[in-house]
Amino acid sequence: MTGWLEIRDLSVDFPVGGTRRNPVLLHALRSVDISVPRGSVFGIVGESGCGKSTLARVVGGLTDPTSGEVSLEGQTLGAERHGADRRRIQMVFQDPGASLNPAMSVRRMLTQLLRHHRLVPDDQIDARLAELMAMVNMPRPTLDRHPRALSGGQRQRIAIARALALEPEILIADEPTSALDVSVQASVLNLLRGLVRDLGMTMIFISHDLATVRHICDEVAVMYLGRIVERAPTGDLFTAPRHPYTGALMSAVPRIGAPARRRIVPLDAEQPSPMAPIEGCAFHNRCPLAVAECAAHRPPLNGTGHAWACHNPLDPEPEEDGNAAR
Amino acid sequence: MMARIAQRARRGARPLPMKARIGLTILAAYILAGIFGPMLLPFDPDKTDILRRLKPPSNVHWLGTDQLGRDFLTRLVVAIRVDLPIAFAAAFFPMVIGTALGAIAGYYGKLADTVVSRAADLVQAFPVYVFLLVLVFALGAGATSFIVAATVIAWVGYARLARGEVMRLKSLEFVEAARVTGLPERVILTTHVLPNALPQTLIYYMSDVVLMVLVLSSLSFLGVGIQPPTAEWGRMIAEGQPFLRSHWWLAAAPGLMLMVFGTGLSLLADGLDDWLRS
Amino acid sequence: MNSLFDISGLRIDLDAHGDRLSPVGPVDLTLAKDECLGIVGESGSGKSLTLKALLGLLPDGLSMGAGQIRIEKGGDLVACQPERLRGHRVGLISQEPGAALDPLMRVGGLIAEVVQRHAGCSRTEAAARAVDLMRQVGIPDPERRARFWPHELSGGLKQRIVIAMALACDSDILLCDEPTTALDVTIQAQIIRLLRDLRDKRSLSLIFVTHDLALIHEIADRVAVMYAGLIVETGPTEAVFADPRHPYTRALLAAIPDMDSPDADLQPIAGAPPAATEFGEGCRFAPRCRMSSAACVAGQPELEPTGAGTQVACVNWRRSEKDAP
Repeated sequence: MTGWLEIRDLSVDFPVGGTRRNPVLLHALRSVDISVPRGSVFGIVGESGCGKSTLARVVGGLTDPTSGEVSLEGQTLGAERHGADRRRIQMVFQDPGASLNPAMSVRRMLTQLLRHHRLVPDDQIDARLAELMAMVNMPRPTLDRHPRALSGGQRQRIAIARALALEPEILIADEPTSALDVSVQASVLNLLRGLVRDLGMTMIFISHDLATVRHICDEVAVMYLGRIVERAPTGDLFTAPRHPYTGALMSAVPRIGAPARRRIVPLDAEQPSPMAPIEGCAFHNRCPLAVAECAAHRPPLNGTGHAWACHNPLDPEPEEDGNAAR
Repeated sequence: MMARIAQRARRGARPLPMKARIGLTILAAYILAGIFGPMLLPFDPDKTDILRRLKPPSNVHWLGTDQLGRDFLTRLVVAIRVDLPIAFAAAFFPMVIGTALGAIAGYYGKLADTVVSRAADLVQAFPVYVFLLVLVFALGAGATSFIVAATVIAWVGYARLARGEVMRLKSLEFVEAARVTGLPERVILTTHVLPNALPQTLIYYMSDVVLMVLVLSSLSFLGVGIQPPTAEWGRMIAEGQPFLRSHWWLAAAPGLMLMVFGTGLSLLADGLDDWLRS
Repeated sequence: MNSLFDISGLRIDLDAHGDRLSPVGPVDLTLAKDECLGIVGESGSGKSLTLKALLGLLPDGLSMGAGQIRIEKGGDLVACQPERLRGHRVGLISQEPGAALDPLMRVGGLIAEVVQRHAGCSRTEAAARAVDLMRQVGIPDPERRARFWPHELSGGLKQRIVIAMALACDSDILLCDEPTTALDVTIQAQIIRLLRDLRDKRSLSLIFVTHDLALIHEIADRVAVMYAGLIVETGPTEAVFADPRHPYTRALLAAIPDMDSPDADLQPIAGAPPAATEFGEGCRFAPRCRMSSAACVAGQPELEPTGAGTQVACVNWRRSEKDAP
């Protein structure tokens, strides 16, 4: 299987202390492999510190990997990217209040990008700006506003317009709705989903919110402490999670539709330090299903289609209440 | 959440604080007086009349005359045209140079930062006034040498301010976002980072102008600033000194002009700072 | 119903250039013994302000303009000053537990200090009680952890320490202001389980404020939905979720993705909640409401019983969504 966007054996370490010779390293990503087919929405889900945002930054070209590589159509992309390579992958950040320059009007911000990348001739910039506003469902006068005059949801639309201005092939959305009010999250999610469909873009959707991920993604990878512990098409993952951590995550989510089924409850232990080397499976000290093998050897991520990294996985029997039509 | 409510409610109309309005009024009054005052006053500020020296205030000379018989009010007002432009210029050049150097140091770090920071340390190693006096002596008294000397010394403050602001700003998400869109670092620095550091710089500039006006008159008082017969407040204080017992206002009035101007500009800077932070 | 804590006519005023703005109220709330009352709303709905007002912790510029707070004492409800309740009958757990913990004291000492002040016992006794309380809130290895500094603990453990401090005061009412929003879901589940256990074992009554409808559904016995400073719908949780009558409650439920129905379309709510300056005469949700009619703009609807045990503040609550134009 050759994917379109390939992430191969990607590791990222951050020095967090120690000396220059002998630094203390935070292992944010530990040999991650992902392959994303063109036109799909690939979800990455996990809790804080699992490395999902670091992964977004590496793919987005903001952080250099310590080892491994990101390649698009066989061409390796590092953090140093120029011109068209830069444009191909764009990002939408979590907090649009922070990701938009407060000193720049929407028009100036977008015009600067269109000019710099010479995307449209100067006399067509106005038309393109109007088109971009229409794409994100914003009225045209918004162009002359500053971010502080906009609401959270509107700002996020502008941030999406900024990404779209560069006509990217891949959009990385890093928790794009978690900073927004409940009532406006839906409009941003619907917008992203529509754009991916209409423009044939590929999206990497990063979130801690399982319900949102289930709603928007085609395929999902679950991360824990810098590694992928399970990866599957969305339907399979949610109806029959195999890794106990995925099961724990799902049982922890409060639900409205169905009474929560507590299949797996993680033990009250602390997550191991991301600085320390880990023997065996990183989840074993919190895993209620752990066996002796788990502490000794790290299980590899096995399987095509639905893959999991576990010595003692959950039963594949699907959750009955999970997909029941409502 | 509560902050947001309070903020939104306030944003309806966020008026300038009283401090800033008072300061702005004082500054405007000085500038208007400087522009139109000399046109309205009938006297030549430099024309001496030894027979009419040291007259008390009268219908003709509202504030009397000085030790050389020149109209005192005219000289006080004409001095605005000397003190203000020189002070604004003496703070302007260091602002431009210091902000540029500080921004480069803060944004690119490494060697640029080392060079700029060490140069700043070097300047600050000398006592300010001594250094300034030495420079003005070396360059010769006068407005130009004062501005040059001020620039050599005062850029340091702007550089430190800009360096700190830029370092804070460059880690913010919108700068990263700009990087993702492929803009070159130089463009990000000038269009995304610096404009956000500008308000703080301008506020610092205003308080720096106050300092410059005081330094300029101190130097003139000591005789190495603006040379006679040009009307300048510091010089006028020095010239009025011998007559403190009989004609106290000759020294007090220029002092008051300085003090009110300094207070006004400080109020404006302080008020604007509050306004921007709220 | 055995009322423990009763709030009536609470109004919070904001002093803005002499004009009086009321971002919250009037709000009526009642908490029964051993009950968990959930208050749900978006940011700016006034849910957190309401909670702060109950403890006299309103930030500068805001004050309690009207209302009465009464608490049960010897079988009767008696009026009380909110400031007096803090650290005694009523405890608070906030979103950021770090802010509630003095960084210069070890966590065991923090709890022991509260115990000592409250029970007036000796130092060693207090320290032992602190360890015991830490065990009760599910902190593993409490003897060792009592010697930790707050910054050495994870967010979930810090939140447990704050809960232990509330228990040390023998509080019987716990106000929870988005206590799990900053935490990961698995940790959130643990804290929720702990709060439930405490309610059952120590007969603790909770007021739980959050923006997360699913979480409210999971923990609350009764729920109050707030919008723009007012309660728009309230009643037993099951009843409200099974048959929401206020258009806002319905819209909110249709706007959030549900893990169990991934294919349902999300229906966004147009517009944004109003700021206190924008409150009109009529129903505050009317500008965003798909069912709004002329009657909605005329006046603020009062809460009225629906017969299903819930109360709703909407003139059109009898009409179903399908009747909307």
